[in-house]
Amino acid sequence: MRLKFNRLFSHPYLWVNFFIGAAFLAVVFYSVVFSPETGAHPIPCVYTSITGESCVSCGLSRGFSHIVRGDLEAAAGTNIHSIPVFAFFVLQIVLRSLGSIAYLQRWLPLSALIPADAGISILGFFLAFFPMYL
Amino acid sequence: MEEQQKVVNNARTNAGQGFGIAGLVVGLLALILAFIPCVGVVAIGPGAIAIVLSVVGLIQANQGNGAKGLIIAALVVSILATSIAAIWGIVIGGISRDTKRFTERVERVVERTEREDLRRLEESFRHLGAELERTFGDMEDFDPEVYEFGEEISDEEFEKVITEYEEVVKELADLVRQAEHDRPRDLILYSQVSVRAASLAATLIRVGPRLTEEQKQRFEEIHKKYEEVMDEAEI
Repeated sequence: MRLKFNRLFSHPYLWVNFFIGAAFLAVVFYSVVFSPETGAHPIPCVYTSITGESCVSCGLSRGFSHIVRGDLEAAAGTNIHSIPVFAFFVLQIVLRSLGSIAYLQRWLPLSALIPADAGISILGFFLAFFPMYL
Repeated sequence: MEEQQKVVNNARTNAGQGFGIAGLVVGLLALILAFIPCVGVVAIGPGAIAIVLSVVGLIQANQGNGAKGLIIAALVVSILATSIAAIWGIVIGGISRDTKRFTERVERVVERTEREDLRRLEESFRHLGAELERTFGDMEDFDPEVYEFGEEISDEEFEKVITEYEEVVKELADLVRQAEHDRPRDLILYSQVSVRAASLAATLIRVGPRLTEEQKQRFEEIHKKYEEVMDEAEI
């Protein structure tokens, strides 16, 4: 499984995988940096700042911070949706890495790889986000 | 030779691909962000940036005969993300307007109520002033006869005044326990009730010499409670 560096970014699919994977890794890093106890997460809730009431997505960041510290119970207590949403983010990191490796190792042709990747991502996305609308 | 030239002319280049990739990445992230309830409105920014990147990529691809599939996908995703974020913006904007209107209405009601409370407080103070003037007037025109015998009061009237005094003291005690003294409405209410209590106490003191031992004892018991409440209030 030897990869040549000049092939790492040889196709737009690899670039997209790299940047999206990096963005989701940044979310994980953000969750590690900010402690759930201090509640100092810098992303404000627009709805709460206007109405003063909490909304369905309030507590997601604190929930993520609990998850990366292994406290799933506290995460569920902060915001029940934080677990499936965080699982989707992790799935994306895994999919971006696996997708890139599969392309570079030619496990699948790109014509099969991209629809499979998109299909799994869309399914994961709906499973993670749809309960927020119920 | 001519055929070869045609193939070279038709060969796709990488023109616009960099902007297309950037547009797709930013657009996809904006799309995910746009689907998060309440926070979704924030995706307008990255969505708009993604549209600009995609359009620049498309222009470059057109000029340089670049592949357009990825760029068009980026443009579609960016427009979708921005549209969803804009819908959130409209929804939150509507809620914000409703909240503002509601807050203004509540403020008007509170203002009106406070004005009414102040008017009632002024009335209470006027009433107390009159009572005090009457009491001090009596003291100035000191008449041993009156001092000895006090003002006349029937048993029925005494019962009415002492019952009201008892109720007012009880109300005052409840207020001291429950009210928040930094809230203007509570302070006004507290002042009103305490002025009423003081006024009733003044009436009872004035008729004191005429009361029976039993009536005096009852008044003293309630008045003791009144003093305890005032001590507790620390005002």
